[in-house]
Amino acid sequence: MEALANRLLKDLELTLPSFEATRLIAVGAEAALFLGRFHDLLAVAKYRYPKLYRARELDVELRKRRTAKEAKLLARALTCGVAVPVPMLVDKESGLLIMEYVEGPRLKEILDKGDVNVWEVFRLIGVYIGRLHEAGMVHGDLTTSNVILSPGGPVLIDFGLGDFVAEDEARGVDLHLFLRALESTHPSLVQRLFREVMKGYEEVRGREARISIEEKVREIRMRGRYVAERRKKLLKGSGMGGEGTL
Amino acid sequence: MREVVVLGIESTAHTFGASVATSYGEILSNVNSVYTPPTGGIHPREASEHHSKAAASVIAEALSRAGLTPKDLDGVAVALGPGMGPCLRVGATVARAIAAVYDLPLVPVNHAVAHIEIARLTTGFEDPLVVYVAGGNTMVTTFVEGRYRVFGETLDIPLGNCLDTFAREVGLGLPGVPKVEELARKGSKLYPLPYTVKGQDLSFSGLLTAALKLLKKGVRLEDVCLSLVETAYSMLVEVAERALAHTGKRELTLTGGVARSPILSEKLRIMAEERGVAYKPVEPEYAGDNGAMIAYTGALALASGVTVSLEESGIRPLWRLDEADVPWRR
Repeated sequence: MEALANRLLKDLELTLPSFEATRLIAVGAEAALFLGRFHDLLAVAKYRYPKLYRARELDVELRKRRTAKEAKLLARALTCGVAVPVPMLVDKESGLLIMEYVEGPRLKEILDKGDVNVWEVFRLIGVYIGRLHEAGMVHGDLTTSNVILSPGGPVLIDFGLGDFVAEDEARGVDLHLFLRALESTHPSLVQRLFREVMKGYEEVRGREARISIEEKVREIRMRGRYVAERRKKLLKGSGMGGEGTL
Repeated sequence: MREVVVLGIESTAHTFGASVATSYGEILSNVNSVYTPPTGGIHPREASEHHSKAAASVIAEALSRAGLTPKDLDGVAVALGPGMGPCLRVGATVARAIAAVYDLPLVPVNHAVAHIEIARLTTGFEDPLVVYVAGGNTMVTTFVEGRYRVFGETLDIPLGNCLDTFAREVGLGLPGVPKVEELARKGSKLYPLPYTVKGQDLSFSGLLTAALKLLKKGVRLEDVCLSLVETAYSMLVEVAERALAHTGKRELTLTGGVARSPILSEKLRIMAEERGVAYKPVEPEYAGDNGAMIAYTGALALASGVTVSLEESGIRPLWRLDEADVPWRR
């Protein structure tokens, strides 16, 4: 990992000398995050570095596409009242995105500490998801690692898998993924946390939209292979049988 | 953990397997009979007929190779699911009969859990992130709070099924994965295909359709295979890397029938190496469905006190991985 970090730092210096990297924040799944200064502002460089396991053509195309789209999504989210880092510079050819540095721990760390007084935070996350969906966007990778709890409240980060799409199918998948992420990392809290999310969501998009999107999430859950819930549904005729989270 | 000796029976899909293993991880025998359809995919009823015919001799051989008789056993384990109903019924019926006749406890085993446990055993990994890929399953999973939690899975068809169906459609026959990979190695040009990663989940159905369309347009079969394999495997490796980043696990393994794929395994190795994560795939002998994984997992379960009464030992065709208890892990 250290060899990788050094290599990426060198790449970054060559590509964008005006960004002075001070520290590697993390090497995530698809990008490395560096903390540094950019035009005298505290900033984060998100560098989608080449993935050696992928064929070059495929890799270049994916990194370019995702960098450009993430910048557009961030800019658009800001105008819709969703707390996200402010984008400062985009260089899609090199897979580089410079944005505002958001101070604070990840939501996952707060939950892992067992501090469960987070209901208001989850309601607000629901509000933000609602605003994104209302404006024709989906985040695409909602997890508790992708929310920073800044002093001013939760901030959604990492729109790398987001998309401009205004279909209930995509919105349903967006929420389904968040629910699944909560289930896999915080199984004991999932029901209450998700209820708060949907409460905030309803505040933005209304009761009708909430009900229809919840139905969509159920439907999506049924699609996974070997889902016991699907069998229960078939057996009982209608509705969710028994153990489903929703 | 006390040492127990268990006979395990596998019959969830195309394989009827039997094995004797101990909770200390000794595989005393591993005998498997695989049903291969003359044409097309696996028909559950035809596979179950194969299993019925194979059962007696496979079990007898598993016992004799282990040098044991039913009286030496501490229990009988059987994969009750997930899988195809008619196939599961054969294994369950045989296991119940042996348990009743020799008065042995019956141990229910989840087939997916067994793929994971045999990977842990043969890699020596304590707490790995697991990529489980087979004809009927594609998931990225790891142990959290008492269960194997699913971090990512296919939203439609499994990866193995995608490649098998492609192979069948273009007349390569089964098993599809090695044949598609062989042609992919001769490919030279990569064509863009739908690369669908949704968070930690995957979708392969659009990829399959697009690959077949590419072929119809006159693209060389070798190049289509290369594009298909490259795209599908890259998607899966990306999801595995996401799960590693999210969970912070330091070990990575690959299990299930597609674990024999050298191309996928190599991609995972490259990704893991760059992240400083240890990578080892399951031993090839235990990659596809086999009796040993059921016997070993059954032994772990029995040593932890997991048994099921004959009345409650119905098959569970839709038994999800994250619904299975794994009390031998904490």
